[in-house]
Amino acid sequence: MYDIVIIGGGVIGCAIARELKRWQLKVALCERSDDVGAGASKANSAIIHPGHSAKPGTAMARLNVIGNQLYDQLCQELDIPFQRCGSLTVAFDEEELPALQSVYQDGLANGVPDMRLIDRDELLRREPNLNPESVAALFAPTGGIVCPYELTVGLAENAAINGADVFLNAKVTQVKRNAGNWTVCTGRGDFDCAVVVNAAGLYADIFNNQVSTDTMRIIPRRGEYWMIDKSFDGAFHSTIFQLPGKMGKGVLVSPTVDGAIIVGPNAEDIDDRDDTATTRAGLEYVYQAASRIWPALPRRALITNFAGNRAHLVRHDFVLGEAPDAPGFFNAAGIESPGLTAAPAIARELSAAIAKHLHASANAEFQPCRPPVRRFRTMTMAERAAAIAENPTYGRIICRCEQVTEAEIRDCIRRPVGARSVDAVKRRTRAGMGRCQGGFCMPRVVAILSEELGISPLQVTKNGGNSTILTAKLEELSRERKAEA
Amino acid sequence: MMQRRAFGRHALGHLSHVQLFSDYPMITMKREITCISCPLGCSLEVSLADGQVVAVTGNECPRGVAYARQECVHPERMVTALIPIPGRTPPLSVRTERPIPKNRISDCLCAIAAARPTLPIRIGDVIIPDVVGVGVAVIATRDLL
Amino acid sequence: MNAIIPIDVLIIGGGPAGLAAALAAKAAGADDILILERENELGGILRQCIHTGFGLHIFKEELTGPEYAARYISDVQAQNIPAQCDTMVIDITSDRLVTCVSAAHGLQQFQAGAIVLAMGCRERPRGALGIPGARCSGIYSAGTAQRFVNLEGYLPGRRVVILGSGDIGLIMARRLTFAGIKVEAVVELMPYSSGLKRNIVQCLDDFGIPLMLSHTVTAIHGKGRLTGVTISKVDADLKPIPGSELHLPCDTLLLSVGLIPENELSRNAGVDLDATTGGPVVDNRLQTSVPGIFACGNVLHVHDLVDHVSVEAAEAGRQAALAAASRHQDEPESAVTVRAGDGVRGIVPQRINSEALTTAPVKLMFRPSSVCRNAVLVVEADGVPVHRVKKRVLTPGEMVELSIKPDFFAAVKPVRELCISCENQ
Repeated sequence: MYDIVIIGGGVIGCAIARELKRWQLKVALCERSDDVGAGASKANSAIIHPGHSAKPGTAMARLNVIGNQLYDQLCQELDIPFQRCGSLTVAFDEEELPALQSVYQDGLANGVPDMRLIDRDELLRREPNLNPESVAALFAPTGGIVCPYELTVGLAENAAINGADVFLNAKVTQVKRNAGNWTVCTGRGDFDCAVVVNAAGLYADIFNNQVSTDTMRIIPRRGEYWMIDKSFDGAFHSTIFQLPGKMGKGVLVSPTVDGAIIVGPNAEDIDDRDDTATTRAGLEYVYQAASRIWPALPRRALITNFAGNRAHLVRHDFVLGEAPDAPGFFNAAGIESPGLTAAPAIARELSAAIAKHLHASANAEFQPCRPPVRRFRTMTMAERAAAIAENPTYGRIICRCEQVTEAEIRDCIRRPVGARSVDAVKRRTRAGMGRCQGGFCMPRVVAILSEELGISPLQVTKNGGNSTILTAKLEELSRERKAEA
Repeated sequence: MMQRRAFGRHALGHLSHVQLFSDYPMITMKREITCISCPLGCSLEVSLADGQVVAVTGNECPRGVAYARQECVHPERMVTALIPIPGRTPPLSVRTERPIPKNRISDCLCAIAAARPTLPIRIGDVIIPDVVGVGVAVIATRDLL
Repeated sequence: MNAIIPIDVLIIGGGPAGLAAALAAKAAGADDILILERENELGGILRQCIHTGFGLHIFKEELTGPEYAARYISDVQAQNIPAQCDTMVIDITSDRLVTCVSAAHGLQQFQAGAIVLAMGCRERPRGALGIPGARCSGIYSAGTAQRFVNLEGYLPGRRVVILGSGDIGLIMARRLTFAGIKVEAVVELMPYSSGLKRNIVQCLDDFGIPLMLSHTVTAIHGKGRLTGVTISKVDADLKPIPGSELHLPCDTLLLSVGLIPENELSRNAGVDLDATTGGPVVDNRLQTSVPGIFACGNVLHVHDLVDHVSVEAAEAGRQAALAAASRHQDEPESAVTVRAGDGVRGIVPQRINSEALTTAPVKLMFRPSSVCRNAVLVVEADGVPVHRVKKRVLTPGEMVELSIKPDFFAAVKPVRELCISCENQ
């Protein structure tokens, strides 16, 4: 019997699991994929919004601004790369100035600190690669960038260290009432609990509608992105927003914490929640829209593309808290942008409400910090020499593009909620994210996963399920031929 | 165009067996192949009678004719393959010492798959002395000690 | 940290280029040579190229990749040239301080008299092509699949489509067919293949594998593992033609869509790179823009034949040995720039010492921009045509060699620029 079962191991579910462990509560988290952060949490703009783009008075606006302020401490505790690079919302012609003013006013209403309007000269001084036709911008110094999947992994790992049980490959099929409590049925067994947290992202409506008459409908809204080669590192210093249109906040251009540049997303409502395929039309739209910000954006600089699906609700606000007709069933639903920014605030508010509901007492043992992740690529030469002296596998570079060592890959598999697939290793270490996109390191990562997990290379997957990498041993075909002979 | 025809006639003139069989009723067939003698990659139309080349067109030089005669009558290929050695990587790579008849490739691959070489093996070691009876050895192309 | 180790000639990469460079450096009198290799064995990409076709020029024999490499490796061993494997170079500075790491030796730094860059190239990945679609498993660059099969003994799939008709893709079509795997088609964007004719005949035609020219993959399908690709015909501007889509079921897509010289380290060292070749700008001695740093093989420009790599690398090794011995910092000398005119791309070397040009033949290597029949290569010195040579056919898939001889310049002495162009007749 758990006190709480959380459905969904995205950034929201993992942040809630960690926050709940600040109380003396027995917490389980069920994730359908083979890794946490495998849905929208891994495929988004990777930015921390200042909070001027959400409608004043909404939960989105309030939690955006609070969440933003929580990021410095959170990322320090979990050893997650985070930078307050600031954001610029740009007016590209005089006609957009009233809209820019309105964003500024919303920001003031939402309590976004330190914003100021800047003129064209200052704007182009800050961002020389910006479209020279830009006329003015709103500068928000609290805007930031983060690695969203490392954050999700860090949250899950820290929750696990503090005693939360994280079940992977545990797809929840049904939530049932059970004598004043709840039963959560999963592919890995049924879990009884007093409280269910519905952080199922794109699937949150399904679980809500199983238990509540206050129904909701999630619309998968796909956003496609391009990644720009690292040789363009420094092309932009801040996140560049365009003024909001009808669909989402429009295409942005932003540096990432890893020294690349991300552009996107578009916004397309689709039927299939799991369809994260990119499209020719969508990618072309993103390229064209990004070219408005960055006219010199070269096509040859585009190294890869991806798509993520946001859990959009027509009412366009977060749905947080206990369902009115289902005591003990807490929603964290409709979490689309600025959900990543708001995640720490959502987790804090929701876990406080749950703790109150369960009359829980504080957990004095809670350890907020995660053991630091040692990253070869950011070490000084002296630190590298010392690391290799201590552990020679720091001297074996597996991913040449991102300079990821064997030691880092083994460490990310061995940690709590460790990597189980090639993509999980990639998200934790960046192995395979560089220019060659895994051409060099993938066979090596497969070999290490096979060794660490004690499985055959034939069982190693790209991202769980049937995403196998290899299909047979050469011997097997050899045997078939022998039979023919 | 004229030049091409000239090559064709020239080619025909060099094939002595054409006269030899010319008194017999001939079953002729045409084959299209790509010449691999140079980057030009001429598309050759080869006329065959009783399994012999009687005419070649489409070639821009005499090498096309020689290639057609080889390729349409006695096509040969080098064969390279892998022999997995349980518990060892990499697998042993092998090749035929010389090209073998093209129609024996599949048999050759089966024979190689059935081979059980014992270690240590050095580059150049004979793995199969006479593969599928074509008088060509299969040799190791890497050391596996 | 360990002390900085001085060394005369440091060779980055133990593939065919590095091996030939090391041997030539030794022959030219260098004594203190070291090869740094990231794999656990010497030989580079040749280790996984188990097909034949190597060595026809140098050994007059048809060898496989491992055999070709083994001949150089045994020479390197016989000459007692040290090689340190399992070692990754992570930085090179313009004053030739090289930093590398390995499990066995930790972090090491070498101060080199001369450096030979011989890091080879890498394959162009899917992302760079911008093919939209699902991010499922089953998509590999052809060379990665080749490594899985030939070095690790695993097969990447059961039903394969190959995008791009580069030689690695063609060779893999045959290898996989030999392994009993169904290769559905090779799909090529261009109206011609960049692979050798011989490979098209012996790797595709022999097995009835269709080569679909002027086609490309326009969508990728599958959740988890790949289940199929959409192929479209392309127009003259290489844009997909709507309505021409064809679905090909497959569980594996191999990409053989080009090779990119691996010059991240060169860039760190401040070496000027050529946007067309993707490799360093070099002079006729294969010296880069940074004195004492030389480049050869696929890191300089992507070759078709390993034999040519060995020849080029031997020259780089020899020049590096001479540079290391003289220890003189090159003073700027008067050099003639080599420019690619119409119909020609990626000329190497890009600069020729003025004196060298008028004393001995200088070999230029380049590719035509497109397939050219009955072509004429024209050499111009400062805008004046000085030499014309007819070629029956030139294709982008085969590198052209052109010897620039002193007697071209009897009438006109080039002072600034040499231009090579290709006229279609």
